[in-house]
Amino acid sequence: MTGDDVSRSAMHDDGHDRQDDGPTCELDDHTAEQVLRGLTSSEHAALLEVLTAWRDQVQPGAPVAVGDELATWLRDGCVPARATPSEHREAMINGSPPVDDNVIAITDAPSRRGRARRVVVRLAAASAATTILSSGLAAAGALPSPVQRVVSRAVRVVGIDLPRPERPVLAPAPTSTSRADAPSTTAPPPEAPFVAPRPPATPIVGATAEIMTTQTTTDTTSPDGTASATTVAPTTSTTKERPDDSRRDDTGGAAGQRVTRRDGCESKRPHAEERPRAKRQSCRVCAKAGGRRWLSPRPGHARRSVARRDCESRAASTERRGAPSSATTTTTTTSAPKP
Amino acid sequence: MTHRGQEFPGDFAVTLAGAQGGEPQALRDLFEWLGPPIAGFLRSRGATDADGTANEVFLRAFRTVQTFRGDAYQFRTWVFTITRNLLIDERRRAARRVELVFDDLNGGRRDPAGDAEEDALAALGDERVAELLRQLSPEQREVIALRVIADLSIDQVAAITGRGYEAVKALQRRGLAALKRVIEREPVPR
Repeated sequence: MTGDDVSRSAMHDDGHDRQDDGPTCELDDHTAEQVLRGLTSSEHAALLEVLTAWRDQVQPGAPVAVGDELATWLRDGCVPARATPSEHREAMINGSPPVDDNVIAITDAPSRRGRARRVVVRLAAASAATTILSSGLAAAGALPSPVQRVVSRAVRVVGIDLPRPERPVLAPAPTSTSRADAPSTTAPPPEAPFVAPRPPATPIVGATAEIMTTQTTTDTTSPDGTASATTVAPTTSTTKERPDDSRRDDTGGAAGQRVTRRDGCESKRPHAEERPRAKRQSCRVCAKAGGRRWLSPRPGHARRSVARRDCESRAASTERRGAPSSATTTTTTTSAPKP
Repeated sequence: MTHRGQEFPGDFAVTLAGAQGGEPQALRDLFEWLGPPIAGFLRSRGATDADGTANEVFLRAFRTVQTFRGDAYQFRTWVFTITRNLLIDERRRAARRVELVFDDLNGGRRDPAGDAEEDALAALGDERVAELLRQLSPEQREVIALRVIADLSIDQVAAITGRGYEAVKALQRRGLAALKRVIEREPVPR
């Protein structure tokens, strides 16, 4: 690539050359330089004449009118104070950087990019220090209880076990407080002792007594002398027996009394009558197959239908095997005595 | 490479030290050295108030002269860079003013002839020179003005305009070629 090509490509990069299509071989760089210096032959005298006329019209040698502020500088002089950073920046904006290294040392002025970089570095360092500090405090369990609880709960998801804050076991409410004196149906008697934590009680299902009559089979003889087995339909009666102490809580505490749960938190459990009871239904399919599966649907529990399908499929497979454990023909009557 | 007027009349290092110390004589020497070419360049570029803009150039230069390190050649480049940037700022402000005025008067239509350089060419006394210079692109006019009127070298022009050395050479060569073509097409005066 010749120098002329470089110049041509540079002009195309600029995109402002209006004479791209015209002849450009009339002047070379050397001749153009000579014309600009005023050292040209008679061949380019007309060009030089135009440039000289332009120069004369703008009068680059004419004296300049001096304004008041500049006149003060030129008359009295001024001991310029050390340039402030803003003046440094202003000089950088108004004047281009020096051509080489010997010119102007404005580089000691903080540039905007450098200041932004320092701000970013400081923010990053502050966030890193905060993260490390909070992690250490969380590991030591020294964070405030609500924060420690939230952090512990959050990091347990990823398998990190952090200490959880200990909740203090509250002493029983004093009898002299107005809270104890307030009339309440669920308030414990003032002399209610402190109930120690208990292991979780068995589910209610375990507390239900099931009374199933066993299957009775009577051998009879048919008129043709063949023996046949007649199955007397058994009666399966299921009786739900509530515990005697209906005020007894599932967690071991008496209803309406302050109890201490497993996590050490003391709470007051409502009476059993006040708590909503979950409907209990027996799965007919399971009962037909001889199983003892119970469904305890809760409101909004979506697995009930799944469990029912599971029971149905299990019953179907049992019938296909042809070996029901209880009877070949059974009539199941499930009756739940009304309370 | 030396150019006409590039040489500082005296010892530039001493003058620069005096200007950085706030001596009035040093400041006057610098102003007398660079004031006229700066004002001429501003006129050639269509500055509305060339002398006022030249005053502003020197005020900015004197306020920050303590930070300057270099010789006379580099000082000249530095001051002309300030001049060019001030001129650009002034044109932007003028363009905004013109835009606002014509928005008010013409319901949003802009004046197609609202160009500061065109105004500068129109202000030239010689219509022939103005017509010839209109054939150049603004970049070519700027480069040739810096070379001819401000008497700067290609290196200095490249540093001031932010272009490469070869780009500046190409701009001046193509500009002069265009001028020459127009001159040769002109009818010979009888």
